[in-house]
Amino acid sequence: MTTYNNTYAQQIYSVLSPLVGEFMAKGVLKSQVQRIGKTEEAIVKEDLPHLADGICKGLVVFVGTDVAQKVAAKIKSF
Amino acid sequence: MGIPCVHACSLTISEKQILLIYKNLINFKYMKKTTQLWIFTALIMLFNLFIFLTKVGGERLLLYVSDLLPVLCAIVAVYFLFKAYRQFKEYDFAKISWLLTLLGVVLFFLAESLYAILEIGIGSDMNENFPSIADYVWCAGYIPLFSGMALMFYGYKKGGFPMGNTKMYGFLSVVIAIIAFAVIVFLLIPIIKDDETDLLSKVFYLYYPVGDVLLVIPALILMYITSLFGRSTISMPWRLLALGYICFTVADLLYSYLSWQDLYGSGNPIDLAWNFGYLSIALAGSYQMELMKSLNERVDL
Repeated sequence: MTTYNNTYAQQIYSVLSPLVGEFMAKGVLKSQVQRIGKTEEAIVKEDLPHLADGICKGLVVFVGTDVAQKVAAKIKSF
Repeated sequence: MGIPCVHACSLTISEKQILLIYKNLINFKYMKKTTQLWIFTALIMLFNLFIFLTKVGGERLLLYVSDLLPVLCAIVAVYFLFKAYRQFKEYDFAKISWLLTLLGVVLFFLAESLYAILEIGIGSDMNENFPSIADYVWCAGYIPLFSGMALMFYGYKKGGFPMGNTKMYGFLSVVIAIIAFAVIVFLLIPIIKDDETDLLSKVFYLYYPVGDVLLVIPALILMYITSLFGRSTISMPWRLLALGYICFTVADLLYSYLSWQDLYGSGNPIDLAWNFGYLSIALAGSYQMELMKSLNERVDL
């Protein structure tokens, strides 16, 4: 199991891995932080809304807007 | 130490068996829908295989099984796809793509029913009367199925989730090119050149393989993408949908070839692939329904 020193990265990973699997959770987190020009270990609270919106967009096709927004709200609340 | 069961021991064997069946039925009732559907799928496939291998009941039973089992499997797929579709609240990529898949399978169900009515009810020779009205409905069904699949792929790409290894796409392109080449050389060109087949029949003989190749492209890509998710529940519906479409493709390509050669008849083993294709799609719907239910009920989200 992947562990991050950054608390936010770890929390996002913990929300995503039961949904999309550990490998994909790691990949999603990596691609989303790259999109905002950062690394997993450099996430700060202000990044959470951007990351949550990106993750929500990717989840919509699997679980619909409603559930994807719930996941995004959870990430924003960290 | 257990308590000796005087009553159970005094039962005859048949009573014990009835008790066991009753107990299993109670267990079955409380199983998850998806587990029940897996058991149903296994039983249908075993029954189908048994009838084809033993030919018990003669040609008549073979005809009934060959024509009616796909109708049953298709209606099961329609039921579970509808249940999955209803779980989505907003009309987004997910809901529309599941709706298109449902529409496609509804058309396939109608086509299967028409085929059964024509062959069993009216006694029509389906090889002689090709293409029948059922073929028109089948061909129409490909359009929403392909659109639903393409929309899922487009939605995934737009979502910005990882697409996987570029080398794998190169490998998939080679696989698709080989399939397309084989279909063109061994099926399309010989059908086009065949002077004994009329133009309308040629159009339909060509439509199925072309439609199948078009359907199998997004199916293979989705199969690869879902493999990136490991054993996660979110990818299971897509994986089973892709598997169902691949089964249809294999069955349809063989059907086109055998039907064109006048070799297709009731009780052909390729029917197994169609039935398994429908039940895979039903399982996809069932997994999606259970995933959505569990996520909607989760209070921590």
